[in-house]
Amino acid sequence: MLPRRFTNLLLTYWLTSCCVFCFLSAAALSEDLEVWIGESKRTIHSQQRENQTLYPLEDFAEIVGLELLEIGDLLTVEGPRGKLQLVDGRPLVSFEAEYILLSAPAWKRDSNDWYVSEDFLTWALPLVINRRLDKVSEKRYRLQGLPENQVQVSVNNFPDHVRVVFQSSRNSPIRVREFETYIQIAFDELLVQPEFPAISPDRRLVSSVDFDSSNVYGTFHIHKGDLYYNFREFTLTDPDRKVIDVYGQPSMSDWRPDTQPASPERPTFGASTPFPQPNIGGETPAPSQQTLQTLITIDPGHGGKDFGVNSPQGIVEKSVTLRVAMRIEDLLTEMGHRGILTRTRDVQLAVEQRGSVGNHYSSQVYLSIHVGGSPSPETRGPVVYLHKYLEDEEPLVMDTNQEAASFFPRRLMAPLRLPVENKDELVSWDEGQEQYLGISRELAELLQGELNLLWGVENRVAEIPLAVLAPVTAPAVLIEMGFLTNAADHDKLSSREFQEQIAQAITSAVLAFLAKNPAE
Amino acid sequence: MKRQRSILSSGMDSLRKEHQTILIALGLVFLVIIIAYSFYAVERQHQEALREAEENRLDVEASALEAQSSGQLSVQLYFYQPGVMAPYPDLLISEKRSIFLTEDIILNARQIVHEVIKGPTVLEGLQIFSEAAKLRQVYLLEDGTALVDLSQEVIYPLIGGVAAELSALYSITRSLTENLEEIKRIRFLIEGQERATLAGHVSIREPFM
Repeated sequence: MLPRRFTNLLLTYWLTSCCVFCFLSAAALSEDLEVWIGESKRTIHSQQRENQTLYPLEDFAEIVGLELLEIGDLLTVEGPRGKLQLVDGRPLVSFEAEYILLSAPAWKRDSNDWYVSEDFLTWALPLVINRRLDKVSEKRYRLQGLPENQVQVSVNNFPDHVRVVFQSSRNSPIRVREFETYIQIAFDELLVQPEFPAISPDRRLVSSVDFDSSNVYGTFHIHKGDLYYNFREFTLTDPDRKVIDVYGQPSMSDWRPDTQPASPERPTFGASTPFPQPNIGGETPAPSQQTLQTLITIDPGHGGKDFGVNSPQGIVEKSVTLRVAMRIEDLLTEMGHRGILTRTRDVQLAVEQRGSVGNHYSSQVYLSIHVGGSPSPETRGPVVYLHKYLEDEEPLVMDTNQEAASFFPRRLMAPLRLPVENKDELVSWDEGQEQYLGISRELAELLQGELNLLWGVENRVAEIPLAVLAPVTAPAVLIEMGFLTNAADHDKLSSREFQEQIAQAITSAVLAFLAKNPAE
Repeated sequence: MKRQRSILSSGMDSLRKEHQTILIALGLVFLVIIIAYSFYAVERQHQEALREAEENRLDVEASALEAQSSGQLSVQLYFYQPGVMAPYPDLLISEKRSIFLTEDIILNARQIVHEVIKGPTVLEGLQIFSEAAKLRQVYLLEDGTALVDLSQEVIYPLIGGVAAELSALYSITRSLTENLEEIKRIRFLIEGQERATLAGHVSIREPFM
């Protein structure tokens, strides 16, 4: 019995050792990298050096097609899009006068036998290759073949605007976004090969057009000049072209040709007075993107340190408002209008900044997006708020019209009201909304109706002195999309699908409002 | 046995990972300590704010008790009414309480604001103001405008939202103007400064009445 038990024990010990060995070997092997090209797999074996895992650079060079040129301790790695330089024993890669810090120094074992850490593959290599390298999982990469897209940029200087046309050789999605100092034209799916024009743009409107290759596909930037006022975009097909017209400030009246109407107003976005139709190559643009008719400012409430309403489950107002506002902007753009967001990321803005964005762009509609909170958990549903000027019940003593002064609160008195027809008259900051209260109510009722329908409630529009709306010289409302303090509303507001529905409801109410009140 | 050991030792290279494990474990412990400390610091700061608010309230009560001239004054206080989206003065709910009656209007006004900040007793849980909210001072101008100077903590209310903010302003306004006839209208200050809003929505540039 005893020898047999001893044998069993030995066998178990041996088996366990085998398992441990297999496990340790597998762990050691897992340091190897896998690069997938289509269905074929290439394995890059790791080397251990001073507790660092390094990989032979020659293997990378072979897979992605790089040329290695060694001069002493310096190695130049040349790819289709540029050169990288490495020095033996230093954790730095130089690329166009910039340095990328690696987690481990490059190591030269022998002549033409260099080793680099894994982050060389993630950070440095994509800069010089013309194919996309995606990290699929730990130690696994996929090399995507990226077809090239030749994008020809042309510039035309017109008397009142600069036209920049991007003509691409292949059809790829394009997204145009406006930033403070430039307009970004981002291409997707295909690797952009830019071809620049011989004509330079008028520097007063467009200081430069340049190409940024730091992202995977490539992005163009139209840098705004000193007299930049606004822009509009449209798409032409066959061949595919994206056209950006950059307009100058109204003061550039000397720019306007005699054939233009004599009125000194800036280019308007009104449906009744559309832009002169562009006519490049004789075609007219696709009807859906013909004109960007109207500017709508969307203000996602709170942001940065100001979280707004917090729910115990971790939903915060500032994130919900930003998400919905960005969707509204997208939906409006799809309908041929132009949305301006007061913030596009998680930053805190002063209340004055929020209002001034709407006024700066002379927007036709101003929406401030918020979420409600209440001490009573049963309060639910959407509420649309209008601005209300607090009335001073003590009459203002005036030398003339004293009788009227004793009857009417100060703000209702005719001499103090702003004449609507004379828009050039100076208006104090907080009184901007005063002449728009009536039309704001119309917008509010439409929005309240749409949102009530979505929630199945019968909430009513409310009037409150709101600092964000007070200065806005346009129909302006503040929307509280339900209450985060109510359980049912909380579930709704945290679902992406419902956020999409809210954005759609708000957009359709705004479109209905614009249909009834076309811009002047 | 020797052979097995030699097999095992071939995998020893991988044991350097143990060092990594120890480092990661130490890092995690460090992280836990940092997180625990920050929680402790925040909680301590909150407790400090609560203590200050309580002291501030007791100070006013003590001064009022000292200056008390003729017993107590019964006052009508106004609070948020559940379900109201735009809590205007006429949509608040009222509650009767008593304060020490003194000759000093400011002292009376301060007692009233403190009672409003405490919240309603009849409808528990409908507290608008943060517990750490503090009344810094009340000033009265000759034209009957009272300047109510609130502490920074008041702008981090427990709830947020337009309705809560407006009811905070109107509950103070109505409670003061109705109980003290010398006060005609209220202007709000935060930490002694004029601000655009109380907590991001409602404008406090204009006086409330």
